[in-house]
Amino acid sequence: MAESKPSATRRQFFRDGLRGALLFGLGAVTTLFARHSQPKKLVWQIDPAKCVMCTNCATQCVLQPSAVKCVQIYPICGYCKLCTGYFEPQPNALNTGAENQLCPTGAIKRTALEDPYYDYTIDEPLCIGCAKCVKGCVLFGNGSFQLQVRHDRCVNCNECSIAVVCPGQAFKRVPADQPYLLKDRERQG
Amino acid sequence: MPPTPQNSAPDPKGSADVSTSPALSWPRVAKTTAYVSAVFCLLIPLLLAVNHFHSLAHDSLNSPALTELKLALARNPRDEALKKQIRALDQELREIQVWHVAMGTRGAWLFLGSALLFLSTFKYATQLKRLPRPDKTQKSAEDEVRETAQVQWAVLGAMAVVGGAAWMLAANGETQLKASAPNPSGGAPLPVAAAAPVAPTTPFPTPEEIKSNWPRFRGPDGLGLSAYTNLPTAWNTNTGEGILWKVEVPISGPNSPILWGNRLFLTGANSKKREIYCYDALSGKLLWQKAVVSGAAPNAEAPNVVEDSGTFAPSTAATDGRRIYAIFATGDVAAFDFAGNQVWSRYLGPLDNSYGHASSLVQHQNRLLVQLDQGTGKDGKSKLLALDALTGQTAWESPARPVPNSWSTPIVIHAANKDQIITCGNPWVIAYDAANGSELWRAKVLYGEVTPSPVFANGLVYTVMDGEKLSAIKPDGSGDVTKTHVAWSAEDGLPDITSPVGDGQRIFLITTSGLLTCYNAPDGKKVWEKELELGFHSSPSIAGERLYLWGDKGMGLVLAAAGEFKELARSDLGEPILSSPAFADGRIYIRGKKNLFCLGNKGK
Repeated sequence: MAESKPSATRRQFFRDGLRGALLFGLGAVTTLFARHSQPKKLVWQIDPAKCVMCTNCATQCVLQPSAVKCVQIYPICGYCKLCTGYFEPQPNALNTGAENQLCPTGAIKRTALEDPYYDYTIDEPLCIGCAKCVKGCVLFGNGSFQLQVRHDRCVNCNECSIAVVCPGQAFKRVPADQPYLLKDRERQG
Repeated sequence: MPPTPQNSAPDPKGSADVSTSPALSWPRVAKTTAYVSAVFCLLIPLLLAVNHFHSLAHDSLNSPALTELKLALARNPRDEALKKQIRALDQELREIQVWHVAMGTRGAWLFLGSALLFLSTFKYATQLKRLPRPDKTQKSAEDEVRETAQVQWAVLGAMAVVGGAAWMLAANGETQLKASAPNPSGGAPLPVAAAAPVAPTTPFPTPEEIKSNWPRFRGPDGLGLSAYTNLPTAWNTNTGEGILWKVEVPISGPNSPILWGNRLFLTGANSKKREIYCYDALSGKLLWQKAVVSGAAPNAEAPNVVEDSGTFAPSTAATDGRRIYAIFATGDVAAFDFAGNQVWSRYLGPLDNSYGHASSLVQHQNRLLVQLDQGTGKDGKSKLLALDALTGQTAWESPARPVPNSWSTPIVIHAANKDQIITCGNPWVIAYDAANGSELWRAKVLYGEVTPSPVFANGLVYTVMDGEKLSAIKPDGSGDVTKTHVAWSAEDGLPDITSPVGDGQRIFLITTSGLLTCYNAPDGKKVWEKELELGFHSSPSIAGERLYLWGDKGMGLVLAAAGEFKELARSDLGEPILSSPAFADGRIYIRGKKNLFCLGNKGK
């Protein structure tokens, strides 16, 4: 009488196990490769070093008001009494009268700290990104005002309508996990 | 032949005839709605275009009229009528701009709604005109077989996706579950420090919270007294015995560690950068390291600092369990939350200080106190600042202090029914009301370059300075109390850098050259003195009945805080130590020139 053949030999068991491990490894490598080969999401941002402070950001954005807003970099701010980003050149008086303010929408709030220091904050819903304050601050002050694309508003068009007309070619694509290009105190001035 | 609607039999149950029921009017409604919404879809873009061009005509950015008026005002700066005209026109332009933006937004939404309505009603109206299609719910046997196979593949595919996702999460994800570490004392597991601490609900800590932590230079109230007595007395750098961990600090400095819960903070700085470090107190892991951007002018000269310590961060940080506060020799003060986010920063410089600002920060209730002594004492530069801990704004500022640059750190005591801030400078000890910064009393008992900080024990304020005297002052006077409220004074063993420590019974002084002197606290009688033959910059501390000292070269001494000299233990840490220790439950944290050490007994 012939011996009954076992349903699975040891060799077959190891061979199947090896195949399974190889398949699993192949799957793991493929998954890792797919995970790491995904392109990083990019968003639009303004390089403050290239910004020429035209008014295109206020008028060319597909959104109204524009997704570009002024940002105050507090460590750079001199808290000046005569802020050249806030006041018209040679202002009539250093007060909040419309005839003295540079901002066309009154989006900068001026608060007295202690004489002669004043705090300047941006009221973002009012800001239209016209860069008038940025120009004043950069040309005559510390340069603490700068324009940035605000990503709570920006719809991230494939072709940014401001980037197309930006004379300084200051618009660039940056990784979404580092979406802002803020000035650095050490590199300023 | 199917019956026509006209000759169908009436429904015996009284229900409406299908052909004449109102339901059949829906196609007509849909058709009408589609027409109306189509008109809207055409009309709204036209209105939006009109709105756009109208807004261009009233451009508030480049209004020629406004520009002209401003030019006119420049020519006639005193013309009040012109100012009123400018303000009125500015107001009008802004209102028009806001109106245009609002109209544009509303119009866009209206257009979107109209388009959706048109598409849905158009689809509904046209679909009803189509000839009937076969019922999709009727399936043949072949369809069922095909669908079964599809379902099987779909299930397999879903399982593969779920399996792959689970594997990726297991391989790469971080668990959100709270881990726990074994409690050395054998009790319930301690929470791992890296887990986010529970957010405090009060604006500033209670006295109990402060006592259980080490929130400032020399601990609670700045007295150098530990609330814990289960502390190690010996350690060995060769065998690692008694050293739970040590980590290298990125930038060395003499400021001392502070502790809140399981978070330990240090600062470090050099001429180029200033940093705050947050460590896990249980493991020594550096949890975060944040730079403080200086508010100094870009071309400003670096402050003078002591060459041998080479530091731009001699001041110890402070914390209230909500935020961590740090000050640097440049005059930059900054606050960070426990997650490492900067809350505020201020620049108080440039500071006129011959060795660099070194007074440490003190947190009291919702105020951050900065003793900003600088200059000569006659130029009005020295002052005591109270900053709002939440915003960094100045809450109050003392009158100009009549003292030159000093390096002492103030303490806050409660005496004579008031919270008093005790400050030391040459030659005055001045007490301020912590509520508003007004001066309460002053005593002329100091001299020279004042560095030791005051302490409070046994109802008396103790101040000391080499070349003058050790003074015990009753803090219930007003005005100049030099001749009326100095309970006693002594002149032996006076330090010029380290601060005194007292347990209510005795006051201990250690000089830079190593002379340790013990005074009787109530009457100032010298009890004993001992030459330790070591150099000291680290201030002494008391834990229970033990006195802890660290020599400049790293030798730690544990002595009996008693009426006679008795050395209990002596252990070397092997690297220079200029800072003062922080004490916690069963642990001592001490910063060396290079490393931060956690001393404690494993398994206890």
